[in-house]
Amino acid sequence: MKKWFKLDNAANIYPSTQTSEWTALFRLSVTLSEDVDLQVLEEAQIHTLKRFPSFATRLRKGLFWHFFEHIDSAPPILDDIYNPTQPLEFRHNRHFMYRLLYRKNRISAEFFHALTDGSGAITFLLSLVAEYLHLKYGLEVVPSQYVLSCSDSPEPEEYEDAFQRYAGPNSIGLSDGPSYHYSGTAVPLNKLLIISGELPTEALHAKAKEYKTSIGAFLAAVLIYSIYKKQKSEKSERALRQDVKISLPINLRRFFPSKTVRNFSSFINPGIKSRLGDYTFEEVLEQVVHFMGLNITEKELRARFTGYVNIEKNLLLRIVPLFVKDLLLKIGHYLTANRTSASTLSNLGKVEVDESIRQYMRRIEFMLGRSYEKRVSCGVVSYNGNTVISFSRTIVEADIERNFFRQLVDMGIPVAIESNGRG
Amino acid sequence: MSYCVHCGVKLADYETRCPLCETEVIDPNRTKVITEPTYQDRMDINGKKLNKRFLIMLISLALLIPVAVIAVIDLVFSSGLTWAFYVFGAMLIIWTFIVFPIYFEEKSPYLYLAADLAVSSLYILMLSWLNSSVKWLMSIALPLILSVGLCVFLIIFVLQAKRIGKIEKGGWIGIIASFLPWAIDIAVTHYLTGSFVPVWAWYVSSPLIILGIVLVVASKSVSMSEWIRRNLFF
Repeated sequence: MKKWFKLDNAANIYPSTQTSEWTALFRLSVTLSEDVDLQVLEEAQIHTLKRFPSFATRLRKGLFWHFFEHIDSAPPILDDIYNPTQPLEFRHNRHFMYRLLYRKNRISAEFFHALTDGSGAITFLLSLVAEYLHLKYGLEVVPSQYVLSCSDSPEPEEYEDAFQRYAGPNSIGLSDGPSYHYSGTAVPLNKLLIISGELPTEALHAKAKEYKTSIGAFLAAVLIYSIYKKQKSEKSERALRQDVKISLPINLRRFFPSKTVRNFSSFINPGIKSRLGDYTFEEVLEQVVHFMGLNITEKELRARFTGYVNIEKNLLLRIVPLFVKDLLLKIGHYLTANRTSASTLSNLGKVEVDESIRQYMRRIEFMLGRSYEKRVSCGVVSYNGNTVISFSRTIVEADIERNFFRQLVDMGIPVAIESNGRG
Repeated sequence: MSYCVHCGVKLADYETRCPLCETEVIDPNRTKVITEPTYQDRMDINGKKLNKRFLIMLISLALLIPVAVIAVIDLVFSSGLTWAFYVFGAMLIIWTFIVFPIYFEEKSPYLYLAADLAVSSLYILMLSWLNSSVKWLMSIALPLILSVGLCVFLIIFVLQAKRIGKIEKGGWIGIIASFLPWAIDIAVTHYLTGSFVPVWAWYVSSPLIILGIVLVVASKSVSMSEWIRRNLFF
């Protein structure tokens, strides 16, 4: 059993920038066909943590870097709550960096981003669910893309820092211009408003196909167009002239084969230059498709994360004590992070599991936590013929979500809405 | 299952308004909520918590600034640190009184009360050392601070006791408070006349002791407790 881990390249930023009021968290939920048996879930969690050693860790401070140290226990399983992704105080969670919750037939997990990305997290949660089903119903767990069997031993490649493995000799500039940001009436810090829309994946796929594009690019264009509509209602000349960009996380495993369940994703910021004139939805989509085509290539992506790996490898930076690094990263994050995009659209894509598991699993949801500066974030996941688009926001006004879902409905895609908005 | 007339989206059973546009759901056929809301109706209080470290840092900084300014002025005008010690001591007292309760919020209050007492006594000792001519500091101020501290200790102990009812607690607090006039009287009389015999403490502490004893005794009797509760409305 590995006793400690270096943080992966993308993880380094999160421990330095988190505060008692803000933790970079995201949430995944699985709805089962029957109510959850807490005792079995507790046992399944213990087995799953043995299979995923990088999740059985706590965050420690070294002299120069943060590191993860192995811990033996398991985090408490909590009642699910009304306002998800509350800041995670590790010491109140037996030092674990993810929080496991359940309510009736739903199991949810909220992950600190330093621990893993969406793809690693869904693998962890689905493996946990598979182990739960194995213990509860004697189901035979068949390993697949998103499910690892707890009866197998962990492989070193599963907890490797894939950024280091695939970093190349060349890097490209990492700077990007600012984006338009909308504001609204802020909700208290302990509140996060959620609106989820469920729609048939087939209808969404057909519509994307009609526009000769993928679901990811189509939804990105709808979101940019929704924000663009909001921008057009602004009175300030400065706001009207800013670019409208969103952040699209890219799962690097698609381009660089890796089994890692730790962070291995990058991002791009497609958008439109509003100052150049009025845009139709078709024009926005065209911009997004071309931007994605140019930037989502193996070479571009590799050069992009190589830039970050080079920063980590810089000798001067390496000898700077951690408290100085923390301070610099905090300042840098405050000044630059999230300024380059108005929102994030994280699409986990189509999640497929073995038929034996599918009969017990009704729905998957994916939601992003409170962002440092972005007021609205969006998580998308498709499973079992349905796509769930979950918006989480920190302002009272639901303008973006309204524009977004109304456009889908106008295009003939049926949308079913639910929310946690009770005052 | 209803649809929003403005957005055209299907709404979950429990939604009384469209979450997108706030339009009220009016469905004459709707009988009662069939499915439960997805999110549990409970709110964490995480966000209400103060950022303790930041607050303590801010208070410390706010108190350090006058200390530093006064130290510089003292150094310039008195060619050495003289009266700056008064300010430094006072700031230390304020810091202890404010910061300890914030930091040890969840722990025993005895801890920060002890710190308050210690720092106040030290301040008196320092003042006495700096002004050897002023006698009342050691004769009156120090005994009084210690007496008040002891009383507060005992009162907190009584207030935290779980097995004692409100009336009995009131009685014990009265009895404890009755010792304070004695301490003040003895300290002042000794300072003025050199005698340890109290002069006026009887008049103040007797009613307190009597009231305290009556309350403690009354709390043991169910009918008397009821009578007191009825008349005092608690």
